[in-house]
Amino acid sequence: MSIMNRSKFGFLEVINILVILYLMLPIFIIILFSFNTTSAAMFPMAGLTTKWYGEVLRNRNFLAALKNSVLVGIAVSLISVVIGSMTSFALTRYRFKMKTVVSFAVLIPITLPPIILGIALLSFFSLIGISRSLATVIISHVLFCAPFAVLIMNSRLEGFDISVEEAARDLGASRSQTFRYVTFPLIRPSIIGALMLTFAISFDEFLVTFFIIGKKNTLPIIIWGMLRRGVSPVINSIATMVLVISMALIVIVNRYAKLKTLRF
Amino acid sequence: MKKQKQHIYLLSPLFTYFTIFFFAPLFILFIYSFWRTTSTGLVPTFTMHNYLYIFSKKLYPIIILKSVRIGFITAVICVLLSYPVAYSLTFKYRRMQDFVLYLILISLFSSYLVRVYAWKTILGHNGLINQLLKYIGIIDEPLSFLLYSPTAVVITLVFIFIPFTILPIFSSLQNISVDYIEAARDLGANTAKTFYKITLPLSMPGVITGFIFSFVLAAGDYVTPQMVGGTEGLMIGRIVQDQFGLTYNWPFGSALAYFTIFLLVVLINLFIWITRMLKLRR
Amino acid sequence: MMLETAKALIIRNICKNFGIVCAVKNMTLEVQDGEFISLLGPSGCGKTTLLRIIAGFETPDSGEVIIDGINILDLPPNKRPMNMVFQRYALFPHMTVFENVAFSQFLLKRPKSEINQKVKRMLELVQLEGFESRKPDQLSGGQCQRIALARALINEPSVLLLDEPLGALDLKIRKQMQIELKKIQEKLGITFIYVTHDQEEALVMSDQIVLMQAGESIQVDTPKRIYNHPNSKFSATFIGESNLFEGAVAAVHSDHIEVLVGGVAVLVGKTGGVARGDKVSLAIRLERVKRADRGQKKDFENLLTGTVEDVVFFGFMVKYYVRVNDELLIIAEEEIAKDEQEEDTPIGGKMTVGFSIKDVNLFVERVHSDTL
Repeated sequence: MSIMNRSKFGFLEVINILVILYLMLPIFIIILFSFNTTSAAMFPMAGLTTKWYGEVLRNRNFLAALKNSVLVGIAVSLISVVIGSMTSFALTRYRFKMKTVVSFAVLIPITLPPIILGIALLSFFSLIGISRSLATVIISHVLFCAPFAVLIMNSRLEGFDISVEEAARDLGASRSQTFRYVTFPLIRPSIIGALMLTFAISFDEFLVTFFIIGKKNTLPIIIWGMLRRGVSPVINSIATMVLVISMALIVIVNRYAKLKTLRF
Repeated sequence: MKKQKQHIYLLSPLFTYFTIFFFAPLFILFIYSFWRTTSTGLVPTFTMHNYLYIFSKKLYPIIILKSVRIGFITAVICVLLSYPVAYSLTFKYRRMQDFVLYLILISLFSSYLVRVYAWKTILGHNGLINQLLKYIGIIDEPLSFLLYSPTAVVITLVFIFIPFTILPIFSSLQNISVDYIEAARDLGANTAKTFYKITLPLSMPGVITGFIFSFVLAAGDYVTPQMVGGTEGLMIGRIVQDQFGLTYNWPFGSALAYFTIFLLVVLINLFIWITRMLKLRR
Repeated sequence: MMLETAKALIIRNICKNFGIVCAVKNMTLEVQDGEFISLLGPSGCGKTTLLRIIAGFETPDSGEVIIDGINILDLPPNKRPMNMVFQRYALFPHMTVFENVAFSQFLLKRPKSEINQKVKRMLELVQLEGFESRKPDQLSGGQCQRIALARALINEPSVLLLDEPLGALDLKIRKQMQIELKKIQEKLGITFIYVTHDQEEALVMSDQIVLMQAGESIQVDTPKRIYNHPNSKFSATFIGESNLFEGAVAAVHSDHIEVLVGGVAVLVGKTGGVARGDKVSLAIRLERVKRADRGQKKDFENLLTGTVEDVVFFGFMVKYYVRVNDELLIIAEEEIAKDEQEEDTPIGGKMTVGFSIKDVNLFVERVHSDTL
């Protein structure tokens, strides 16, 4: 769809480049400064070293927090995708009166500032008497991860041709066999995309987690602690490692689930 | 569409979950805003004291308005910067779509906290921008307003939220059928007119979604002001956070939070009404 | 003469409403074993709904569908003794051709060797041997349709349901497939229930046609009889092309009826239940109206003269649009003679056309839409 004159290099192109630079500059800084010898956040860099990476990997607290973040992330993504997919099936395959209201209601948790969620859940847990722990973290993360799972599955299921399911039934498949052999394989890429996205959201979550986490730490909580104490290069190393691993995962998964599933 | 009742079973997990862990907590928080704190703890009662207390000191209304203003400015800048990018990706540089999407993902997958912190390195006295400007010779003394100021907060918040505005705008632009645009061209409209009469109105849902999203989230952010805002850049989020932390006045914190939300909702509805009046939407 | 052939399927009093819309109105139909029967009609006439009710994807509000004495409506689609070929093939995109065709056998847990053999045989039947490892997105439309057919037939169903299977194909391929489908059906002796809106297709392939409109069956007959003896205005116009005239009965004689159409008296064969003054419709097949002005030996009881308004050539036939008067335009269809010149039939010139009494179909206008 080339509506516009290709050769014109003007306003649009300048903005595009500026925005892209704007987005990438801090990332570049983070990666660059993870190799900085001193902890000062200033230009130019004092020197290059990889010692911070080593420190990170030896740090017990960091490793424990990493483990917690991964566990929480896995739990959150599984729960979110399961209940999110069920909701999505309901929204895309059935006609019912409150449908518009329901589809909006599903999204409310992500439209509120996370701080509100944080303090609300804090109040709730203290009133009910549930002590704060990784479990409360998982509970709160699902609240805003499930809507994303719903959005991703919606975009897949809306275009889903039901006739393949009818064909399977016609050929002798029961409902569960149809799901197992036909439906699920066809939605699996989107499920994987949803699992990944919800995991990523949970993994990096700080704003809500801050209020309802107990003694154990997740990675962002540890980072926050470090930031308050101003220990800079280690943070950059952590962030860089997380980034590299995440991108590697995306590239691998993209073989099975096209990135386009994330466009909702 | 299948038999009618089955959808209820499919919807119940999510909505039971939401009722217990979302609506109930929000309701409880709201109730709290009418309670009082004493030295012994929370006292369940019904009083408007907390809400009135917001106006007892000039500080609170000012901070609330400042936060709303920062949120608004952030949202406006986000939309203004995101729209051209989303537009070029849809109509001019289609092959760049995946590439830019990757960039957005890279941005989102780096730690939020560290990304905010990185702006300290960029905006600080000895940060990238000041060193660069000094090096080129434009300035002698470092620009101090760049860091620990509302400006720094806006710059950082815009950076954080651009991905969240690019995506909905891009999505709604994608949905505009080429046929409309070609029809407009065929009927004699030039590029500008086609844009104002066809493209812009049809993409407004995405713009509004992106705007509301970044407005609300930016106004309520409490990390960014703490890291790059300094005293000038204090925002309501920090104050609320304190009520649930050191200051330990949950009822007041809740009142502040709900009052701010109320204000945001009113403003958003106003915004939607205005866009309808200006006939920017269909 | 009437052999008691086994009934493959009996549809009895099927009704289906979607909200206030009545899709199928009290449908009763008997399908003979080994028959190729078409459900033919315009969009929205209920033919696909009826097919889906038989297959099990819609539940009727009332009625029965009986096979071998059992009402199969009690059974879910996967337990019914029939298989379906879908309009857009519905091949499983994530499976190979082999896996698609073998699916039903795989579900029945048949041994591997048996499955291999059966799939091979099916692919031979549809002339796609060697395609086992291809994926649906590597196939053309016609190939997809044949795989869909193979997939449905491998189960050896007693009845095969086909939902406008050739609708998405190019004309040439469609015509090819029509012949192939018919051949396969005759070879296997399976009962085919075939839904289409293409009357030509129905005429070519079917043993019986069920002409449907607005949820009801208008006429059930062999292609030949439906074509030559349509029982209603709808039948006459939906199948083939007809001249359609509205008029009123002028006189009823002992062996024929006079109908006044646009001021011209048309002689029609005698039918009962018609009286003077009745409003009627007349339908005459285009190819039954011939030129009568060049000394051809034809005995036409009806002759009309008018001005040639238009002449349309299509291949080996030509249509003459003859305007008799302001209210009456008649179309004649002829084969082009070898030595015919274009100048022979100038537009604007006079022409006489004629048709015989027995080729006129008369329908009385009814106020209510009763089933005919």
